[in-house]
Amino acid sequence: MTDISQRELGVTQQGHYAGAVSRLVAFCCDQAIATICFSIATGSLTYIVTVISPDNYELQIPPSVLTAFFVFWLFLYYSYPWSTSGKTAGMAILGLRVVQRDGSPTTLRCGILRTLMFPLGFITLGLGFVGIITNKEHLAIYDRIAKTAVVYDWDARGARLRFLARSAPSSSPDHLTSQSISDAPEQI
Amino acid sequence: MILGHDLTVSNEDTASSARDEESEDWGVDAALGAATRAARAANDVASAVGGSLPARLATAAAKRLTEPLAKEGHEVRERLVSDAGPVARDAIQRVTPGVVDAVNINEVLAAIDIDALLDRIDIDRLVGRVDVAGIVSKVDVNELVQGVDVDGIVSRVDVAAVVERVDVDALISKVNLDALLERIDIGLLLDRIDLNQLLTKIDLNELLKNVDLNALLENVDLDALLDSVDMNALVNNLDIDSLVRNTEIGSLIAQSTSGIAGEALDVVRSQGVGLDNFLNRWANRVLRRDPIALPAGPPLLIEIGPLALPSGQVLPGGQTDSNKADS
Repeated sequence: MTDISQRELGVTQQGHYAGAVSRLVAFCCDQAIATICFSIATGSLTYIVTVISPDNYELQIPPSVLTAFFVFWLFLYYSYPWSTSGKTAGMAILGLRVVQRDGSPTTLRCGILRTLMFPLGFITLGLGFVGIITNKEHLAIYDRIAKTAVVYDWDARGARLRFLARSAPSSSPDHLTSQSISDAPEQI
Repeated sequence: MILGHDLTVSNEDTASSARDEESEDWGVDAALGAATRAARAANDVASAVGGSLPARLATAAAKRLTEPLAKEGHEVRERLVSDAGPVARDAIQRVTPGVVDAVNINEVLAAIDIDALLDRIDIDRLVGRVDVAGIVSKVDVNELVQGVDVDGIVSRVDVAAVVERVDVDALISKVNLDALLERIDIGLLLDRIDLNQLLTKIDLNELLKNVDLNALLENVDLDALLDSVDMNALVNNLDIDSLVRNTEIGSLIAQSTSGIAGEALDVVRSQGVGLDNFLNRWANRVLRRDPIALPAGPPLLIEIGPLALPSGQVLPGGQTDSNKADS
């Protein structure tokens, strides 16, 4: 019953300001994905160089360069999605989207500015993130600068229909629906 | 001689008296017959000869010579007529009762051939001589009708037999329905009909059994019908939630839009939303903020209405979606 209420509440909040937990989890996912992708990319590059070099040259990338590449990768990873669709991979998983303050889609300027200002949250020793909890619009410091906001934006209608279908009574006349619908909440 | 004959006879003596008189007057009758024959012959000869000139001269001479005799004869004839009238009347008055008594009406009537008599009567001519209008004008119809026992007549009439003898088809074929219908005031007729009472007496189920819906629908212009339907208003009135919950649509949507990954994402997202709200509630408590006063989201996203709920739908507990989210 708690799951049902929670899910119903979730699907009814599409377009609302996203909370700290979802955004934190999305960020963690993004970081994991970005790091994994970068690691795969650098490992692949090293392997390719080793394979194709005549004397099995082992590529040694200086940490500073590697860090610079990683930072550049992160910049690309965040700025491009935020400038176009408004959502990174992690935010897509959690159903979040970056929009402008009025709710309109983000622009290239918004995406780049938000990406560049994003480190301020860490630079301020986490104080820049406090606004996500305390602010009325759940704005972090980089949101204020870039004039953006983060909202729930998953497939609300589809999710609601799926939720309704799963929460249908087991006495449904349809034999196909009875199994999936009645079992779904228990599985959840 | 006949006038002076005693006619006061009884019924028994009538036949014998007649025979005696016949024998006594035989001579007189013979003389009269001879005179009649002679007169008729003379008349014939006179008519044949009288037209000639000599005959006319002879006639004129005879008239001149017999004028004194004719004058005397004329006086005698007039005297005879004046005297014979009372005598004949007296004789008839004395004879009539005896004749009436002697006549047997039944025998007389039995002897009459009615059919032959009727055959000889010209009915059309007879009827044509009757003044029907004059007769009818003299009849007091009201008095006549008042004297008629209508109830008694009607009670003796076998109505069923009368009706059976009526050729209804022929009767109806003679009715001019068009002219009849033109004289009917349909509006007035409908005003007098209690349609509600009429409809309560109609067995709609029985009526619909006799309706050929297929033929009816063939005549329906579905395009025009659908054009007149406000589909938006129709859809707005649909209870989508109930539809998805209680029909096959729900399972189809679930099967088509969600796999294992989709369901997992729903779980993760729902849990994230739940934790977000939990954290927000505590933040609002600490900061002493009224959740209802807080903006739910960016204006453009909130003004177009919640994405998941139909516009204006109220969540359980009487809260709107945004209020419930904040609370």
